[in-house]
Amino acid sequence: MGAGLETIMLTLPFTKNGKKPAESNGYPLISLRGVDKLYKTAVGDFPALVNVDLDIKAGEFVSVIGKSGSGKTTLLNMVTGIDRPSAGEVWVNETAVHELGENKMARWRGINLGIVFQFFQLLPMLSVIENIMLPMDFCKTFPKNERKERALELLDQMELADHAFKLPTALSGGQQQRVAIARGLANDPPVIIADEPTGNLDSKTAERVFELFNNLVSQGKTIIIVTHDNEMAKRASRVALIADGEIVSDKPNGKPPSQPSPLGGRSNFSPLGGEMSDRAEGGA
Amino acid sequence: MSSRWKKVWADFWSNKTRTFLMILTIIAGTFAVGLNNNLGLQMNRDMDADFLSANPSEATLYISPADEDMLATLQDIEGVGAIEGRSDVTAQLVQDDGKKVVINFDGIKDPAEITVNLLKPDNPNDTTLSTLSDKEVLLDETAKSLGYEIGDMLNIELSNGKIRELRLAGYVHSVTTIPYAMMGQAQAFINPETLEWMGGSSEYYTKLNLSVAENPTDQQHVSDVTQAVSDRFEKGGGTTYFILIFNPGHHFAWDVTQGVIVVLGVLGWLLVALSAFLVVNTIVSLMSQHSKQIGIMKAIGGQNRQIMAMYIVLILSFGAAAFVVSVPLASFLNIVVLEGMATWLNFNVGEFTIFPQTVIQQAIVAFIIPLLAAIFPMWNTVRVTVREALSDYGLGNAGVKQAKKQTKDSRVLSRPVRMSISFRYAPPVIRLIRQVFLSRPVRISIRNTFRRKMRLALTLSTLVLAGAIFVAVMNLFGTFDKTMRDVEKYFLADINVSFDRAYRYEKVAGIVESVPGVESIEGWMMLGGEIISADETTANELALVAPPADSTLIEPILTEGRWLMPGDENAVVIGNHLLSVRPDLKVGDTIKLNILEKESEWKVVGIYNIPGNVIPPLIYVNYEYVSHLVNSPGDVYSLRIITSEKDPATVAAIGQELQALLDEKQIQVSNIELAAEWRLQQTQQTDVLVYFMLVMAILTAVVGGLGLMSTMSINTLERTREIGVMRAIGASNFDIQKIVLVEGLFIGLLSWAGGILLSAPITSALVYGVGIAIFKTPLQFTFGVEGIGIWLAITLVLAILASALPARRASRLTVRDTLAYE
Repeated sequence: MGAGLETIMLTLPFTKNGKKPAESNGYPLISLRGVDKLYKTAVGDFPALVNVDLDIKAGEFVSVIGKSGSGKTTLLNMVTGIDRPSAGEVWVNETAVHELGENKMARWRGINLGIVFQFFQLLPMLSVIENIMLPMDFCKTFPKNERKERALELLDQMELADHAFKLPTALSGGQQQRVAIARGLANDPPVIIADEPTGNLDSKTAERVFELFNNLVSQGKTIIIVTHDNEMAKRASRVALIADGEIVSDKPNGKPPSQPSPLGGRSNFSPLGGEMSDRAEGGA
Repeated sequence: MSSRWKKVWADFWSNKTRTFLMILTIIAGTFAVGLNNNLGLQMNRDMDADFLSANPSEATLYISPADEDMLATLQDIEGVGAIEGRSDVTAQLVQDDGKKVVINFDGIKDPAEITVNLLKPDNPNDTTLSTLSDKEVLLDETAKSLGYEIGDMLNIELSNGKIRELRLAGYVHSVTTIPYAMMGQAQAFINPETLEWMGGSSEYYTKLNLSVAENPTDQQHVSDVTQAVSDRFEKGGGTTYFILIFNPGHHFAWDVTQGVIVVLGVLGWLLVALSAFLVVNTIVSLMSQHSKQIGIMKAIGGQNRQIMAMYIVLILSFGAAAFVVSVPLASFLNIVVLEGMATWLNFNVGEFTIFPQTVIQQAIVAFIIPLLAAIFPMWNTVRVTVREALSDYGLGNAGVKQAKKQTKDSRVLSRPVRMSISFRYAPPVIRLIRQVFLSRPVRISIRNTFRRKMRLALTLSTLVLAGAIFVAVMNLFGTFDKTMRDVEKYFLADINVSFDRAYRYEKVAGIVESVPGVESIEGWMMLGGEIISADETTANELALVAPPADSTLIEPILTEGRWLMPGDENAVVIGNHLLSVRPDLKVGDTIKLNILEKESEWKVVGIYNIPGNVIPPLIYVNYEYVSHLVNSPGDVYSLRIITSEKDPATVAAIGQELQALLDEKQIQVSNIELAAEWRLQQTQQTDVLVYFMLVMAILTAVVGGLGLMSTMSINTLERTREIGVMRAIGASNFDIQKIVLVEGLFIGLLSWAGGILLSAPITSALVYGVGIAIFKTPLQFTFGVEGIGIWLAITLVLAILASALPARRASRLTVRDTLAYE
């Protein structure tokens, strides 16, 4: 990994229709109210989530931690609409996610959420840039002639522009995860959801992914990540601890959430990248 | 191109084996339907067009000599379109090697002035016919196989033994003539002067070719008009000996080709059904492999309809590739087959046409059928939620849903393990069997076979159907063979010598017996006659066949009553063909026959069955009785000869020797027919169906093999991680290959057993349909072991071939490759 790559300076290339990211107005961007989730199994019902209440404001960077099987991923699945609550309500960006049909959900998800998976889940038959263009193709959030340019700029931000036309299998794990993040940002969603984004990466690469997330938060994105790694979780502005399907602890991480800033060109870039770099070096 | 469609292209192009198998599968159906359909349409069109352009006669009346004046009076009868008289001579063409071929000469004034059964130049591009001078002959083009060139001299031996030399003036296309290869008789045309020189008459006609003015395909109408002509002729003092009406208004092979087209059409669509099974199988596995990708696409904003559209386009791409290949391929083979059929069945091919309905059917088979087959598996996968699509952990999840079943399977399969304790003390052979057949890899193979039950069911369906069609077609061949043998039971002699007139049996038998190799001889009589209806208003033509009462050269298939017995006097055995025109007849009835203008009463003692077209219907009577009735005791019209050696070469040599000896003794032989030649002529008529069906059977086998190969490839691909685990715990290349191969063989053997069971009803339907279409009677169902054995061999070879590549690929996987995550 070259030294240059250790300081990833993320500035989102441009937003759709000049729309600003969701701003913190005191109301939560994401809100879960009395959410229960029961799984029916051969040995009886298994409560994955029990009466969960959770509010996340725009611009927050929330880590959800907990043991394996505690309900972290289920919680994320409630927010993304990948799974539905057995009871309760899930609101994201003023949308009642629990009421959306599967088809509307897909489109809504594509526009409002960027999802990053532990195993990257890039489509192996598409090149890196095509993987990033795919959400734009599905959701038609950008005009056709702008999609490639935007994908290239996102890749450039991830310092992967040179790899744009390679297949994902030609990239390292860290590189693939950055492509996955770029794909998550493709439609310029206000919220990024990441399930164990560093679970399959070495510590250095994981550090850099966190730098990216921090940078995104500074750009006004709201991020929720699930992680096993308590040390990494501490980099977030808020940490929610979940155990046996209940949020047992939810507190700020001693650092106020980043204030969102309007997205724009490089001129709007905040010097957070440098801080990240310092932190990364410190972390290492 | 957006990334969505690039993914579709990548799915199409990246897995070339899958794409190739998929396209090949669709090609099989599209090709078969295209070939059968277009061939059928064009054959029907061209056969009819060529036939009708010859102003064909629907009926031929064999009459006592009639002159032009008489002909003119017949022309005015209501319903008669055209009527033309001809006189003919039957002789033998003596070839350079001494072999003789029966040849019929029709006397015609000018080939260009014929009004019925027109002749055309043999080359369809020529517009003018060769002219006929004295001592010149025009040969029907189907006799080109005899090898004569224009200008050659033909040696003709007349029935009186005299030799005439005729110069071959050219070949003509006579679409109303049954081809030489099928009839064993060549058709020729000479002018009236030459006919007279050959012993015929230039002033009188001996047969009338009648073409009706309208409704030429209406058998009843044609029959009525013909009867009116015959009645008028007989009122004028003439005699009608025999009326021939065969499938009026159509080419002689019309019925056979309709049967062939229908049967091939059914087989073609069965093949489409096979392809559809295979498409479902491949799509199910493709979607199973793509479920995670679909989950991801939905997670990043893809809607069901968008993702569905991608897979629909993928399926249509397979179809488009198959369509692009199969349309020209089917068209090319269509031309080749059509030209072969035209030569064989004696009709001219028109302009080659790709019929729109063929292309539409091919498009349906290439695009709509695969889409319909794939739509539900695709939708089932596309509609799964993101969570379901992404919740795939650990080793292949095929077993997850089957936990209960696997426990049960494990119980069943653990029995050998328990037995292994006792095997320790078993004899070495048993231990070897156990080691080979119940070894753990084999047990894994068997268990693997049943893991994907839906896929197994589809694969088995494809292979079972392929096997059933193959075995059914083989059974049909067996049935044809048996039918031929059944027909031969009425003509058991090795050599049949027919005379132009009656001879004393003692005289001709004495000559024939002197030829070495002749073992036994029977003298038979054949007479034309009529059966008169009970109210004496109508009469139907028939032929009386009179074998000696103790004949050993006929083994009839009786459906009712009994056969003739020595001492029977006016006993008669009637057949299925007479019953088709006189369905009221039954055993015990007394019937009135007109034989040589003399009426007599006969008692029906039995009913026999003979497949095929027999015109006129044959009835059997005792030689001893009928020869006295016609005042010719001791006279025979034919000799049926059994030879001591049965090989065709020896029998042919005896035939030639007989010919020479009878010529020398100036016996007027009309024909010497060898059993082998006769059989060849008969089988020529069913060969076309046999060859076509064989092609279809092979195609079904190929599709079945593709199905198995596709399944084995998918199974191996799905179990990549399992294979990795097995390699990690010590499985050798051979172990891995054996697991895959045995699974393939096991599926093959299961399908083989299923195919045999299913082939019974298919054989039954095929035999019935073909029997009615071609032989006018349901054929007897035969189920031979040949088809079963050949299909077993094919199945085993297919299973090995289909599994070999996946097995090799599986054994090449490294632990690192197989256990790596995406």
